[in-house]
Amino acid sequence: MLTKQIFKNNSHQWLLFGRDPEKPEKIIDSNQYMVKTETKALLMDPGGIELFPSMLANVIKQVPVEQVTHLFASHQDPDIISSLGLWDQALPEAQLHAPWLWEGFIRHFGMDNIDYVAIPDEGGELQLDLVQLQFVPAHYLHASGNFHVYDPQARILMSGDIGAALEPAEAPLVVDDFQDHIRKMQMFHQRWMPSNRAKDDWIERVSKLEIDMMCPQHGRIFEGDDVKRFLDWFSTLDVGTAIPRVQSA
Amino acid sequence: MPQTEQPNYFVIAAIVAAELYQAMVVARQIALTASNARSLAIRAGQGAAGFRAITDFIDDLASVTVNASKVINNQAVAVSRIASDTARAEFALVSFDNAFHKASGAPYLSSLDASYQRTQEYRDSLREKFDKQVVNLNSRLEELARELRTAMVLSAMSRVEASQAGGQFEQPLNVIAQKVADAAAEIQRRVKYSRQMFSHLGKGRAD
Repeated sequence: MLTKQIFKNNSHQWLLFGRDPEKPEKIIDSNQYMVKTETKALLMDPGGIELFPSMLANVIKQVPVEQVTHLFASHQDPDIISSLGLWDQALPEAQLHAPWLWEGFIRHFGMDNIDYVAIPDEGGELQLDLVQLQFVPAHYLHASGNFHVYDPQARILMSGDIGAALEPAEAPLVVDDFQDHIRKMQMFHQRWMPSNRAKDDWIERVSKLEIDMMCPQHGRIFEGDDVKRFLDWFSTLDVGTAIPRVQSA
Repeated sequence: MPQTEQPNYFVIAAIVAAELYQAMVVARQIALTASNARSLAIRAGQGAAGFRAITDFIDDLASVTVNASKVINNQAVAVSRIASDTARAEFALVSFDNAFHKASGAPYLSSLDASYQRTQEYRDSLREKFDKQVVNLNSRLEELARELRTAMVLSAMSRVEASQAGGQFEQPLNVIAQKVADAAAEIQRRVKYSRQMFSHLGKGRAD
């Protein structure tokens, strides 16, 4: 599994884990992110049960395991957090920050030790040493309770399934040709995202943030102007397309 | 780092729980049969007095079997739960092993030692609990098997008493005797199967 530092300043680092060549063929490739501060670390969308050994191995190349004090799950999907039962054995003192809506569901993955910190619908904040992170609501994109993580210092938005693309595990980490990238993410957004209203609400919210990097859970990172390009493209995209539109008379 | 195993004890324990649940259902049928037998024996009058006395024993047998099956069933479910937790702990250990292997030479590799040890201790405590529960369950199953031997005796006695009743009552009383015998055989079969399954568990846990 690849580990890539995507941001670093005096207070913290952002790391991406992904592109695992040992991943079983039929499971979707996923990006996991970690914010590492002086004494703490937050692991975001730590991944499925199949990825756990690779993830754990890569994490302990960066920090002692006990430094991982916080986990974050944007929503309840198995590729996001089905490894929870194993992290629960590895990090018994940790906290899991996840939507309140999914607590009873996520606990099905096995959680005897980790503390569940329910994020209310309006979002919240997390202080890691000198770094303050924000949990940004992204409800119905695609899960009915859903959050992203924004780091105002690093100007990074971890955007969960928004911006995701379906492409081979060996794909580059950063979008290099936005127009070409559209075809890799169009179906994903139209089919997985259910609500145009939720989409518009999210775009309005996120447009107010200063974002240098938008980091989805699948596919590639958007940098610089590609973030705005994505928001413009997404704003015109019709989503929820599995239900045919009713033609008005 | 020792290699770990991932046995399917929880499946075996769940099978035993299901078997005992079925045994309990059959035992309830015996209770119903005993009730029918009592009514019939009363109607048959003095000729079936002996049979009437036997129905009390059939009733007792049904009650003992229902209760024992219920207790064993609940215990088997609890054992299955312990076995599931054990399998999960085993899986965590296998995953830690795998991570150790992948992270060979990593600067913080040794930070995993505490997690590994804690999980290993947890796994060992579950195993110990599991072993105790299996021994306990086995002895309860043996006890139930002994009780069920009485059922065959009761069935044979019922046939003798049915012939004493004579006339129109002999045949229905014989049917009842047969029902008791069939139900007891069915329960015995399930108890025997459960004991066989547990003997596998015993061998599996000999490590």
